[in-house]
Amino acid sequence: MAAEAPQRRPLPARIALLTSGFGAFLVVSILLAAYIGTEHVPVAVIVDAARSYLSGAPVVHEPVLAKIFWNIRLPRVALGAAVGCALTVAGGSLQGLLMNPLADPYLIGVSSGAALGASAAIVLHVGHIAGGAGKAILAFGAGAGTMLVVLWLARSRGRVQRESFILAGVVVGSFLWALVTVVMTVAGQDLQTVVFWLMGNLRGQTDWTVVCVASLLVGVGCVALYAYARDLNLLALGEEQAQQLGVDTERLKIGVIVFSALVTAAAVSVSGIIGFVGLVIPHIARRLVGPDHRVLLPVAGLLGASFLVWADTLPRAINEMFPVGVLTAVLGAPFFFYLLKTRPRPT
Amino acid sequence: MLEAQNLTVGYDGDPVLTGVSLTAARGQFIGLVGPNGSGKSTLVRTLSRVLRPLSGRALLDGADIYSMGARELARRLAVVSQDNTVAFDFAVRDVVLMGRAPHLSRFGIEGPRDYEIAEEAMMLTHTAIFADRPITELSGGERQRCMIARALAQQPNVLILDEPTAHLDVSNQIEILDLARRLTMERELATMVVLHDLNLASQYCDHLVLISLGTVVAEGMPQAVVTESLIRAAYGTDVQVRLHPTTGRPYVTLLSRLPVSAAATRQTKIHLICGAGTGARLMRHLRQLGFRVSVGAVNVADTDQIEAEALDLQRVEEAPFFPIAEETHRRNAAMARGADVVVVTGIPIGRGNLRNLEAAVRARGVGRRVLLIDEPPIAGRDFTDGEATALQRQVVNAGAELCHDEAAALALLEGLP
Repeated sequence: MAAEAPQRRPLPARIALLTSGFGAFLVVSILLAAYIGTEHVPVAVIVDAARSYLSGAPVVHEPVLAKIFWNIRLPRVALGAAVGCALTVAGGSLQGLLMNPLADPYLIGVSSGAALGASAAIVLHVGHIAGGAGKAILAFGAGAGTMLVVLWLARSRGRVQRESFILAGVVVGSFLWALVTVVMTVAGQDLQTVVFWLMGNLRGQTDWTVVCVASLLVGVGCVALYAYARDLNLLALGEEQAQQLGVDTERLKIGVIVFSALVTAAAVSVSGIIGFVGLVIPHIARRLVGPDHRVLLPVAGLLGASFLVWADTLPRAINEMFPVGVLTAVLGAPFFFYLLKTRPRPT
Repeated sequence: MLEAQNLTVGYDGDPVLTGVSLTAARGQFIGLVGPNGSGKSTLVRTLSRVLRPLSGRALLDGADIYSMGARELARRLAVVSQDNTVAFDFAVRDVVLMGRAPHLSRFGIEGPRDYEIAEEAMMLTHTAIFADRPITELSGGERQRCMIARALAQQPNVLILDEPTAHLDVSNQIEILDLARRLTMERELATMVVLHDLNLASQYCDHLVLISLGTVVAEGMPQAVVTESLIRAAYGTDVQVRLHPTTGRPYVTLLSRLPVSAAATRQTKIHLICGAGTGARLMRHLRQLGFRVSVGAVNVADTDQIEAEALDLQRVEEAPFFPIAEETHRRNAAMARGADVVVVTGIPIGRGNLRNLEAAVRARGVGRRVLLIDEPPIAGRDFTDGEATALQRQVVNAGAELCHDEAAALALLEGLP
């Protein structure tokens, strides 16, 4: 850091400036990503369809082309943004809560629970219920249930022990993952579907209802997590010091765990296991804007959303089948090594 | 004002400390001392509302700390702990601003007034120079000052420091405690400090509370608490307590529990005439060789006197900084005559201790073997216009042996039975 750091802007101005900057980038990313694809959809067609939808006037242009943009690409891209935001905000919050830079949303077992729910739904062929959202609902429910079990295991004498929480999350996660492999061995013809789901992808997500419900859950969860941002800062001083500064640390721990699990379950239930986003993007954001969670969480969320939008779109432009989860893992792990090797030298 | 009323503190119903009553008034600097595991930190946790007391009450300005919220308490009581690591690389200013959190509403953001308070706290603690640096890059002492700045930003009436000097070197220890002391006076804080080091505690605190074996064993001025018997009882170890010549506070010398020598294994009695620290090493050495050693005449609080007392040697003492009186001289000469060998170290000789040489002359006069360690040579340490030099010449002429240094004298003595 420079010896003479420039006078920083006041916090509200910083938050406003950074979120509007990264927010604008996200909006542009979403629109561009929905525009890019093997089938060219002219802008005039897109605008025409929107105008017609809003005013009720009849469409002038080709309605099928407009559908490709509005009803096939855009919901998928929007869902990608919600998933990226969810994983990053959950990852950033958990890193703050556990004071462990290696924490990510998959550490706490919720994703394994959701994976079990989803693979069971695939094998039992219950995906079609609830208007096709059966798999997502089962995955979400299993993920949320896992969180309750992990929380119960981590609590002793009315306190959530953070070390026990990590241990319980990892162990419960491994156990459930073993059950997922059991399901896979009996999956038979459905094995490919299960494996494809587990790799993490957004292909075929064209249902606006699913997008809206998932986004709503993610939105509520992220806003709730943001409410803990200042308390997470104080927690960096240590749990006891945070208490001595007036933080109700039990409420903080349970709140962050519950809402991180909620948004993670929501994301995983619609996208499968998309790795490394929740681990790497918060680190990048921390490099960019510093460790203050009041700035970090919104910036990380917007950055994670934009990242996942592009990570899903670029391979889609080349090969429709390429799962985004593979890309994020292939890119994410080396990038994390880079962050490790270039991190500011501690003294 | 912080007050503990018959507090019993502990974990899961198991008391660690019982029946603690104490008061810290504004402007007072109170020290909490006691052995490891005696419950000092448990008491701090209880007084800062982290741990519920098993019974009794903790009051802040007359109100039970559990009747007020955690944030309300944090506006009036600040704690600096020994662990000052921060998980992320927050700038120092941001860490200090965290002290404002109890004063802000749930979604409130620090305003100009909060920044002013933080800046002022950083000025007072000399941390403003690294306000923009990441706290993770600072040294332990610097970080501890930042934590005190953060505590000040809380604008408390009561400040609790839990072993603030742990892991710090001597200069940082002094700096931190000077700072805490100064702030206590300037801000009229009621300060309670947990200290490991009894000497720092007795030097800095107006009032000490000694806890041990689950309860308060002594309380009061340092002179009343830091005594050999109380410290021995509390810590289960022998220490030597003296009043510091300049501060007047008690200071503790730790005594090794390894026996110097179980018993005298030689018959030869050696009387050591020394002072000003010239004989301390030699007397320990002779004792270890198994000689029976006596020492004289030394001033009380002189290094040689302290060492002789620590070794429990027979000795002739004079009051601090007094010249050797007639009576003292007589006893010293008698003790020298009673020995088989008299050893005189290279003491600086002035009018006040010239009689030490006279004692050696008398011992030689009755046929005792006398060794003079002439290091440094007498000319350089004779402050009596030649009288000391003349006396030394006299005793050498009478048959005393002159040794060039301590090692030479030891070589002569080693062979004795």
